[in-house]
Amino acid sequence: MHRALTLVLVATIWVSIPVALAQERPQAIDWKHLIPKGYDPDELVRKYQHEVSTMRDNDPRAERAAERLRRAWENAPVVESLNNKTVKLAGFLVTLEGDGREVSEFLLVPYFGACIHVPPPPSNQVVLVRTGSKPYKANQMFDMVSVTGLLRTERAHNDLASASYVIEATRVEIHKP
Amino acid sequence: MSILALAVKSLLSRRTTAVLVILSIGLSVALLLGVERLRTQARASFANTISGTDLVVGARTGATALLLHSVFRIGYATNNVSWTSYQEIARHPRVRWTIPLSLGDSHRGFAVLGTSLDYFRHYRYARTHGLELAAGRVFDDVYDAVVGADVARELGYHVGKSIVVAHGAVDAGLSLHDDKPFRVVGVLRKTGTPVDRTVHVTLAGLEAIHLDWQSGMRVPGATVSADEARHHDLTPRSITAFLIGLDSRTAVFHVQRFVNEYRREPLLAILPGVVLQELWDAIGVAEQALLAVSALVALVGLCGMVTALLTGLNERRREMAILRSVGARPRHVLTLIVGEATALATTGIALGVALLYLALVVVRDVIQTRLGLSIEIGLPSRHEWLLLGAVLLASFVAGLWPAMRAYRQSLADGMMVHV
Repeated sequence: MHRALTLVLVATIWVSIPVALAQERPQAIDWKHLIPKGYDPDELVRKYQHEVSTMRDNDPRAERAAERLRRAWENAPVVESLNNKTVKLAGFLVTLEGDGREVSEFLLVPYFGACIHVPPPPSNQVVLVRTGSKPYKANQMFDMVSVTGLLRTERAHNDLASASYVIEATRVEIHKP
Repeated sequence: MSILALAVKSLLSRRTTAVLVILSIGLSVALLLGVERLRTQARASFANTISGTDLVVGARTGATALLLHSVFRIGYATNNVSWTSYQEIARHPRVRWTIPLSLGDSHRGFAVLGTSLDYFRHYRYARTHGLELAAGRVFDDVYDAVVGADVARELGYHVGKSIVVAHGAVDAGLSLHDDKPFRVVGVLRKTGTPVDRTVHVTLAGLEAIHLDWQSGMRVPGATVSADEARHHDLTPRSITAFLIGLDSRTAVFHVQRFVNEYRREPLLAILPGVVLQELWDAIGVAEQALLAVSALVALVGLCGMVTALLTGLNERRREMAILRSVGARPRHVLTLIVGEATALATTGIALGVALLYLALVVVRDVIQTRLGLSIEIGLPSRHEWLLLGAVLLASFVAGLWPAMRAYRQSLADGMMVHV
């Protein structure tokens, strides 16, 4: 009787540990994993490279080229296979909602600041992070953080064809490169 | 008689000094907690003013200036946004809703805000709260007005009251739009934000009252009555600023860039969360300095206590000798002094907390009226408990010095005192 019980207990533990680990271990991803294969955001940059580099900043043609680039990057495609996966991603934090000390919702971006001469990152390189019940205590603007949580691809309200990434974070910590 | 009873009697015989020490610690603790509470409440109050808004757009000025004047009604706009630009930006495919804001007039010390019904539909504060009516309804007619909770309370307004708006930011009884009064149709519930201190009117209403005004004055001979005004085209030509909600929060950088590079007019689009964070980073230094000063004041209070204990030791040598004679060991003398220090500090802390709450009750309304901040009178927060604990620990450590002194003295003196 005793032996049987022990055996059952050991078997349960044996099975549950790897199952638990398999579910919880986050997949460490990089920003390039968020870009679907075949989509090259820089392809358009190269196409307009000539126009952009030979004109002055205020030239309306440069603006039109930048406009086309911007519109293309506004609706960049997402990688659907990452939907509902637990991931870990590092980037820079841009506060959206906070009470001055804690941040409850923010955007995670791949680089610090935004250069005036280059359009903002394509929409598949910006991740909305919701911290749920555990807000993040921000030290200062644009902290470099590592976010762990469930990644989802959400449709936009107005345009169901366009989607973006959202992470429901379970852990946000300072990232030391 | 136990040593404790003797200790209490000893303390009572030195009441004056003891009371002074308790008072000084009490005041410094009240200051420390007061500063900490004001700081955290101000920050939360500010940050909770606006929520769920992706962009704030206004005429090109500084980011902080735009946030302060459009959302907090602090300061003034340098220029306006044309109606055409507003319409065009509102038509951007990623924009889900917009709230137009038109500021400039006032009513008996409260700002008058011209806006649309979208304000009541989409404005959010403190993360998830929307605006709710305490009485009446939102506007329907050109001359309808909806007032914030504080406006209704301080001026005694109720639904149906007729009010007159003044031209400009200061309502001093001059420059009144008294030919076109507004009618209060709704009162909002308290939000703890600048909304409470605002009189909301329709954009058409604001246009109507300015129809016959030129350069800040009514044009004589060309007056238009309130009813005549209804038949004019009351579409505004410009607004002060507007709020934007997008269909996807990640699109914010693109729309922001679109507005900032808008060719027709110099405009500025800001992310309110980011600018608030910038504001706090700038003010943060001053906050830390204020906190450091309060901590030093608490330290000074404790130094007073140590001084009082040390100077009293010489006179108490006979007392210690008597205690030794009834069986107290030197270590009991040490415990006694440390215990006294902790007891004084504890009483001081209790007094300090009491003083704080008293002051808060008295000052709360004034702060609400003058600064628009709502300070809670709740139990101390975790952070505040930690501060109190730190003061107590410091008093314990500070008490060790006179205690060691007394210990060594009682060892040397024994039961005889060589005075």
